Amino acid sequence: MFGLGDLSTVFAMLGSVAVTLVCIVYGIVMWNCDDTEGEEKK
Amino acid sequence: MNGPGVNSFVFGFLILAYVLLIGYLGWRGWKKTRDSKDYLLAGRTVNPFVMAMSYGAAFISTSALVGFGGIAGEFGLGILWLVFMNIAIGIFAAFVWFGKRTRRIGVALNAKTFPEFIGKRFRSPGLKMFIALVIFIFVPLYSSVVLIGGARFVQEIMRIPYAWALTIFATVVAIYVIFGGLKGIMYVDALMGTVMICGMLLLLVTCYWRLGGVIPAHQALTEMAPLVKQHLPAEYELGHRGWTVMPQFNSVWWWTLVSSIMLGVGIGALAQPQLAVRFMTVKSGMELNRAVLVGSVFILLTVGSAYTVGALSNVFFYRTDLGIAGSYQALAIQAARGNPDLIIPIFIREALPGVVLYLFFLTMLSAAMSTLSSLFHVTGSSIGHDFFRTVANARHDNLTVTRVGMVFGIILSIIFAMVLPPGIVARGTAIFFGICAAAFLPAYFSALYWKGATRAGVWASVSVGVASSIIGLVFLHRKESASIGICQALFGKSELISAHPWPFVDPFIYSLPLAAAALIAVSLISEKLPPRHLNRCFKKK
Repeated sequence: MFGLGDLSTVFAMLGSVAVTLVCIVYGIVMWNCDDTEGEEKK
Repeated sequence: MNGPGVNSFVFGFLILAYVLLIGYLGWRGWKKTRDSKDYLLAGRTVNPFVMAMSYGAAFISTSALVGFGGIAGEFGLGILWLVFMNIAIGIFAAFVWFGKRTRRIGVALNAKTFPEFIGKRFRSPGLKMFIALVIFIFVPLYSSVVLIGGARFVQEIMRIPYAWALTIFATVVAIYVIFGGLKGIMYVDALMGTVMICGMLLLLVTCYWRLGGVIPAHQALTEMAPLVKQHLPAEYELGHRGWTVMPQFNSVWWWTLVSSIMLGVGIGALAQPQLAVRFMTVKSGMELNRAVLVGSVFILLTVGSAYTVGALSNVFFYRTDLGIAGSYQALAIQAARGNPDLIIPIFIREALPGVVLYLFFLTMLSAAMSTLSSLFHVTGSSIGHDFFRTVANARHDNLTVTRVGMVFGIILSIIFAMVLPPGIVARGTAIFFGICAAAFLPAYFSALYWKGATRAGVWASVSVGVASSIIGLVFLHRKESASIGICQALFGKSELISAHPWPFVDPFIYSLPLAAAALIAVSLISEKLPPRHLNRCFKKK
């Protein structure tokens, strides 16, 4: 896939892109959120 | 400069203009530096873009771009797992699970440096001094390999002797680090981070374009796999099976890639003192949320590009039929005369047109300078703020002592950079990250998450982490133990345990669990910290 030789390398490439997308979504969703408040609520 | 299509005057002018711009930003930071909070934490008011770019620029150095890019040229695209780890662990986990609590507890305890953070959290000035000493001793090793990465690039591009390249490079960095403080450094880092993104993206696009597109480039690299056995028989024996597959499972190369590079460097990023201090520079957790977005894109574009280009350089150097390799027809490691640290510099010199070379020179300069500045800063603050101030029982920081500490760190790094062997950049980085992980990660994690961790437990953890890492490097991990020679002199063999895979397992793999076990075991039987202190550390905002 993508001209690469094994699935591990494909997963590494796709995984890097996927985790970046997760970070982007997290950053956008939490843009105005200061969630450090109340972290210790128990 | 004699590079292809490069005008010496334009080149010199550009470098001068860039250095002046950096100097100006450093000077602005210097002017705004009023006290030690400004000097050590940039006044705790840095905006998220500057923080994330500064974190990324300090995280990613010539060691990553030149050193690990070269390793990609040797090992292939399996190293992309390190990109995944860098983003998942080095950015997401670091910012979301470590950064926010570090900032909050750091503010509650008024901690300005990593050793001070741990020292105050566990109410132990001795622990603070010990951690400061560990940082002061080991950071110059990492600084020196970053210096080597930058100097190797200057050497190849400008075609000047390595010693000259090293001297020029170290001098430029030293000048603005000593005078700038963290406020100056973070603004300069943000500029450098932006230059790095542009440069690396340009490099990746140019590389794919010259090799006929993404999939044809990968395909060409995949088709070169049989050349490993033919051209690199020794590497084939060690497990190398091509540049688009992982090394053979359980082989020497597999252990090196997985234990030292992927896990050692990937997890070690969490416990870097020069990076942890950046979490304490922002106003609130909101800035860290935003920084996750910027930081992840930064890492993907910089190291993702470097590793991909490093591996693809094999196609560039070998495929003369594509009209791009000139007279090389060699694998990347052969074109680099056996030194992986030279693969990226030579590739850039040969592959990029002169105009792009200018930008790229600035990219490498930025990558090295941003990391070195943060490393020299943390070296100086360890000795000035954390060690001498505690010893002298002084109320205020003596910035002169901090700057003397920096100068000492710079000199030590230059000496190391002069004497360390070729091909050391990635290995030196892995050693440093592994030691940081074993020595600091259990203590740092427990400082953030475990109220039951005790002062004695953390002392035990840091001591066991440092000791087991050193024992591993001197007596067990062949690459270092054979070079150091103490094991040979004492026991007549290069490593104590020769059974596969132990000589190739990175010391971090056993020293981190040992340090964590020591922390838990000793904490369970030693005196707990007072509840009042814990409430202060973990209080709501």
